[in-house]
Amino acid sequence: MKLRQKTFLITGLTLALFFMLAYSVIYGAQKSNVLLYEKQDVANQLTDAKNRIYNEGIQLGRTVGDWASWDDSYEFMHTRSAGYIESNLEDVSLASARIDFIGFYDENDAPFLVKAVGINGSAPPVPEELLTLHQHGEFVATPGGKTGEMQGFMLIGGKPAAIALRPILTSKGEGPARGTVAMVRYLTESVSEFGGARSTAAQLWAIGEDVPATLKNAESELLASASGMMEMPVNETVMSGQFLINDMRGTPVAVFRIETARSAYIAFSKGIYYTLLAFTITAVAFEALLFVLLDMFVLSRLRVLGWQVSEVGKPNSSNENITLDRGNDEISELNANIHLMLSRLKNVRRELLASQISYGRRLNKEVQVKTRMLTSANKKLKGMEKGKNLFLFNIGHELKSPLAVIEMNLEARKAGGMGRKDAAESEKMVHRNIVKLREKIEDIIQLSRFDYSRTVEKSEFDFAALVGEVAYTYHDFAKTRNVELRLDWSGKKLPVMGDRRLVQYAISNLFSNAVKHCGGRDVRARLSRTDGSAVLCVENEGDDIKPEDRKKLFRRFFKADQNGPGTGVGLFMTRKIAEEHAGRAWYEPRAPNGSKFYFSLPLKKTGGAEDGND
Amino acid sequence: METTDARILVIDDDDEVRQSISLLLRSKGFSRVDGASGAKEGVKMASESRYDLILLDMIMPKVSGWGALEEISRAKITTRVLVVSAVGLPEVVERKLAKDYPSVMFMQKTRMAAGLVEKIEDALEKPAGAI
Repeated sequence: MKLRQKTFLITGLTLALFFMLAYSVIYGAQKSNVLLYEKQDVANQLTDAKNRIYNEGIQLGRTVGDWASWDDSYEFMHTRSAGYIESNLEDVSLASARIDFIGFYDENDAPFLVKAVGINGSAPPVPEELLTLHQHGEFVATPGGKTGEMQGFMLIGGKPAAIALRPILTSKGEGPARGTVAMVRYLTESVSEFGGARSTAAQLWAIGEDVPATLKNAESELLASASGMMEMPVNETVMSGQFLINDMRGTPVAVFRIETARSAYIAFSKGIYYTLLAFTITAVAFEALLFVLLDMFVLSRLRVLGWQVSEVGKPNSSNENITLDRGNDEISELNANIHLMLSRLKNVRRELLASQISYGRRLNKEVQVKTRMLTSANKKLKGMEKGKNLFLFNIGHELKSPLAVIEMNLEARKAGGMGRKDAAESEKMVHRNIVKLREKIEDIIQLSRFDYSRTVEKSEFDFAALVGEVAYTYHDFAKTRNVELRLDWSGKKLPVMGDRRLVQYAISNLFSNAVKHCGGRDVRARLSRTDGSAVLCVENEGDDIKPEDRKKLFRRFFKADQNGPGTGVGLFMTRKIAEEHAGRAWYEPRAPNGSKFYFSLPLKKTGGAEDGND
Repeated sequence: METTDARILVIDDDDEVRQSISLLLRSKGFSRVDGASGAKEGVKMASESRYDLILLDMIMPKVSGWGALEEISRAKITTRVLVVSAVGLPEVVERKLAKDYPSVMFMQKTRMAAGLVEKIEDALEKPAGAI
């Protein structure tokens, strides 16, 4: 949902909520006040109606009082003359006094004249109640001594009516009473007058009378109420009010009801309606105005900002930043921040690009270097693999040759017939070749030790003494080749720390090589003390080593002559052993021909007493 | 001709091997055994004198046994050749010999003590000719 739609929705919902709240408060609070007012108004009308109806009884009481205290009436009760009736009981006169019935009752309460008033022969029949009043005990006076008076309401002919009774006395109020005079006035006319005066629908009916359900319900509720009067709304437009009319004994006999228009409520409802309508129109107008202003000052700017940012973000866009908004509000701040961010992003992108190029170059260089290293390592590995195969080939030869010599000599001796000289020589050959075998086996063992365990067990020993022992051993070997091996040494000790067995192996290699490659000329060895080291130099006058082979001499499996004797590990091991003891092994050509091989070990420090060159 | 009368030339750079072969053959009755300490010297001797059999070592400095075979072939020397070698991989040498010099016989040095005489006898039964 777009921000615009959201804004519209939020303001709309807020207004609707406010509208509903306002309606609830106003309507809820004022409606009860209006109802209270309506009830009060109806109650006032009912009170007025009640007064009118009761006034009917009072007025009727006065009228009947005039008739009862009139001497002619008193006389009439005695004479019962027709003249009195003719003169005083005319329908027109009685009707003008709104009397519907008049009755004369003797001292024994027996009716002797009950007249229904009717003009032009329209008099209704005399209701049964008026002929049997005494049976109802409505008379308050006792026979012969009537002094009381009564007035009230009762149902006459099934219709509510006011009735008044007075004892007939002299005009001076003296008795004895000669009977009772009663007058009846129906309340219908009074009710009509009331309704007409108030423009109100007034109704009166006897309890138990067959009336519509609405009235019957009202009658039931009224009878159930304690006050005998009640007001209530009938519907949205009509308010009703009713009260009970009791007879002279206090028994409810009729219901008076008015129905009046709910003008206040209708006016209130209209007021609410117009108020809300006005409020709605105002709210909609306000929302529209608010929305337009929001759109103008906020949303449209945000849209423009969003569009600018999206333009920058498009692939291959030429826009690198947004236009700066010079305002002073939050959107301007947002604009400024985005502008700043994009500027930094631009810088970062440039730096990144530069770094990428630089990194690419560096990476390329590194790859080239690593490739060269890998190629070199691969070449080295291949060389080592080739060397190892060659070693296996050579070691086979180197082991088999002395073995074959031993076997052949033993076989020759077994065959017998060998002269003494030959036998002695044969024995020496067997011995020498056993030594050779041991040397080759030692080569293999030392190589394995260096490759897999590199075990060096150091202890102090005299390097000079060890060289002497080895030289002595190879002295005999040299003699078999008619070569002299000479060792030059002053005789002083050269104490070193190291693995005596390994060092012996290294020195043996140098002597062995020197004798093998001496070219039939003498071999010379020298011991010296140089710069804190014990140095052995073994030299011969054999064939020169080619310059290109000199650097390779100490490599594993290297042999200057691939078909020559040896396994190609001797010098490699010699240098390794020197390095393991912090010493050195190196080669120097000998002038005018031959080779010099050196092996040095650091002298064990004993306080510097014997340091120095010899 | 008795086999023990055969003239045999041993070409091997290892003096002790040469001496040992010579001792062994002498103990078996062969009295005409000469030695050469290198291929060059051996080929020269073979071309100058008539030998019945050449015992040739393969691994020698400067000129190897293969070089000697080439020289013998090139010089059209018709002496029988028995290669004796202590190489680590004898089957390789045998294969190459069978391919390049099918008339040349082969024997491992370590079997010489027990079987050299028998092998020499086998070789001498074959006709001499260019290799």
